[in-house]
Amino acid sequence: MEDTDTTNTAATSPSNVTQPSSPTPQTRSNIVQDKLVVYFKNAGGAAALKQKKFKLQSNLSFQNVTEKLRTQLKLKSNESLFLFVNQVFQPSPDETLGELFKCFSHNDQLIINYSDLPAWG
Amino acid sequence: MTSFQEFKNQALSLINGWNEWCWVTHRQRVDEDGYLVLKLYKNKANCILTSTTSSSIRNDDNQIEDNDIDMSIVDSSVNSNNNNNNNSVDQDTDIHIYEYHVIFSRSYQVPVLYLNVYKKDSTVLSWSDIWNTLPLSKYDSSSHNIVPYFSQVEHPILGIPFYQLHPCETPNLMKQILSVSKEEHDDEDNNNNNDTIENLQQYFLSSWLSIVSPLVGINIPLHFLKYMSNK
Repeated sequence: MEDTDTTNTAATSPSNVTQPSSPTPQTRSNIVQDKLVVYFKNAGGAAALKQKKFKLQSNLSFQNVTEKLRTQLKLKSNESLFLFVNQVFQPSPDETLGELFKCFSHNDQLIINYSDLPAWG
Repeated sequence: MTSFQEFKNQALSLINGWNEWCWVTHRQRVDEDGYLVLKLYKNKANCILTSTTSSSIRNDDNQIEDNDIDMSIVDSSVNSNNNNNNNSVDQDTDIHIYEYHVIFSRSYQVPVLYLNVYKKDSTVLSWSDIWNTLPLSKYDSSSHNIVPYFSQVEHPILGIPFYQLHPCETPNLMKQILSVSKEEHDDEDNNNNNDTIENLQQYFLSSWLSIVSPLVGINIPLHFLKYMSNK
């Protein structure tokens, strides 16, 4: 999801010719203001959301994302919530959404499965 | 997980992707046994300073020697309150060594996490000292009614006291996580997902570790999750 510069700047461009300096609109459309599409999918007994897809900022930590989902699901503080990428891996809470997106996104969206996983021994 | 051999295979695979862990065996034991070890050095601010970097399979009786660690890295980062700028190793009295073991329980047929924390002089920290440094202790205070618990038990191989994260709910937990694929199959958005429940079993150890790690102060590296996902 990198911001690619599609302009053609030749190495020996004459100084009196002004080259366009900003990328064309097409390349920026997926990353407007560094927001990424996250698709929350419920697993196990967890409740489904009415709105499942969200545009979130890429610099959010995974901890932030968890908290946002908790708010969306209106969970109490004693109710547990676990989030997974690639179905089975829980990333570190400090990981940024942008990095996770780079590694695990499909079709320009990051699927995050969430579950309440009730019991611990 | 169905057997020790499966645990061992997944453990060796884990080491390939996350080489701070190490596989340890002991020659004296008659039947085949072995377990994973991770050692982290943390300062008072609970920052991880360095860890062992061995990725080899050890057949020694001992685990990794502390002498292997480059203490000069540790010295340069631990000097917050110290006025004198000597580089002696005296400053490392505030460094604690977190030792994590992952051992396969044949009774529960799951991996189990064991933990001890040592000072530099090898004395073991008391539970109350350890507990306050674990992120898990914060779960307790926000009145989570369901919290994973530690208790002190005899280490199944070394025979010394170690703190153990209770394994009794692990099978249930992992069954739920690894059965996610059933719903994934039915979803029209997921045309590319060819994982079956059987295939997900190979991720048992890494999936379990990714859930347990944040609770006990292990930072699961993204490159490891990437590595496992590409298998």
